[in-house]
Amino acid sequence: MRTTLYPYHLELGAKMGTFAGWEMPLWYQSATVEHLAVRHKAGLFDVSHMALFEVSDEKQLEWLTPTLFSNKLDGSVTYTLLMDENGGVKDDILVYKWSANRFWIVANAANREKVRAHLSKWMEVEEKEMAILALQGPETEKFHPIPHKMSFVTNSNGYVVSGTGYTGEKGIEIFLPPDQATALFRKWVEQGATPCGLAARDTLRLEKGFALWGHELSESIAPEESVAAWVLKNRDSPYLGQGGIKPRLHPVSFVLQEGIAREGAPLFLGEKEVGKVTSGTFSPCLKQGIGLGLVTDNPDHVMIRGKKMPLKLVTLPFV
Amino acid sequence: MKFTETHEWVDETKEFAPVGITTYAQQELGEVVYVELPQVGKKVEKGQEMAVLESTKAASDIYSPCAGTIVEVNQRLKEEPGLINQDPQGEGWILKIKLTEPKDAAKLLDEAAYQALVKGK
Repeated sequence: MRTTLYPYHLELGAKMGTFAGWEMPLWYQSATVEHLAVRHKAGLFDVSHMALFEVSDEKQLEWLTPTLFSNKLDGSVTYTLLMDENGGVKDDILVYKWSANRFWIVANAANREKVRAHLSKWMEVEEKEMAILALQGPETEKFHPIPHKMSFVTNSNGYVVSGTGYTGEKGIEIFLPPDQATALFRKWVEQGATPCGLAARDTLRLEKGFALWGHELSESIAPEESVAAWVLKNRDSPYLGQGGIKPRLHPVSFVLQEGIAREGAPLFLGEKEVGKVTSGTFSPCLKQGIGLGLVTDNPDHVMIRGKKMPLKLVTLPFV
Repeated sequence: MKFTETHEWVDETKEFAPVGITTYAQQELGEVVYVELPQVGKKVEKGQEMAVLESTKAASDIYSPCAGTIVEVNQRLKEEPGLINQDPQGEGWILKIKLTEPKDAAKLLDEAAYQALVKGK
């Protein structure tokens, strides 16, 4: 599948790759340059591959997540976890509250069908066809005003704009009709925003320690075990699957002096394997390997291609 | 210069034959951010893994195009792994091999055959 921006990505010289069935830009000229543009200036992502659903049933939404939406303001955006019956996580989602009976849910592209099917078991679901752009970085306001963090507004063009993102920087995500997306993307690129691909999106989120479903979250990981466990606080009424997986592991975050630990690399405390790396990359800001892991005990090294590499545990965010 | 189906090149005309990855390979790989180099003096068989390039996305093995002994590694890559992107078939060479049997290199792909392989992708 392709987003409406596909021809423009090619025009910009993007190196394309397939992600969850979508042909998306991995990078344009350089993933490192794009990463640093978001940290220091402004970067622009096409994230139209993400799934967008509209639902109306607040009570059911509170049953499917550990979040109480009745406590949220209209115009708020909330990060939460879509629970499954067994206590694992179907997906991590953003919920846009329009009113007590109108919500938007943004889900991962890889989980589109599964999320739609799961929501449909509990409530009416309508899938929306929208282009989604993410403009991220300290200079975002040069291009567009930023709503308050984790809130959304409708701008003068009728586009929904939220103070959200997956980079840890100031920024917006904007929802607009697909046939208008290329013009806006092009305008911002011509005004100096750096077009960014999925490679930079991943290194940016990892430097901030944000979970990626399929890595730090899944149907077999208890949310209590994850870096997203903070979502569970302040919930005293029951929700779907609550406590279904007994927490046994805890998340760790580490840096390496040398090498890069990738997903699946075993983590050791002395001779004992204590867990695995869930995400690992080379941090463009720190210029060293960073990673998240899921472990029974705190590790002191990681095995990379049969070699023991010492690691240092650090608190999140890395950057 | 000869090429492999796994996108390495070797300059078999030199006694200590430099080996690297092709321009096509570095485009596919993206930016190289870390290079794991082998010990000098190590003997390698044709097709054996001998170095690892880490890009922002993934790790990729570099396979030996021919049997031989590693006689030098490109120390500059430790500080400047990006040389592999900037000049993959020149300054971005990875290591040098003394070929056990220089004639074996004749069996590798020539430039035209390699370009045909890449175009077919």
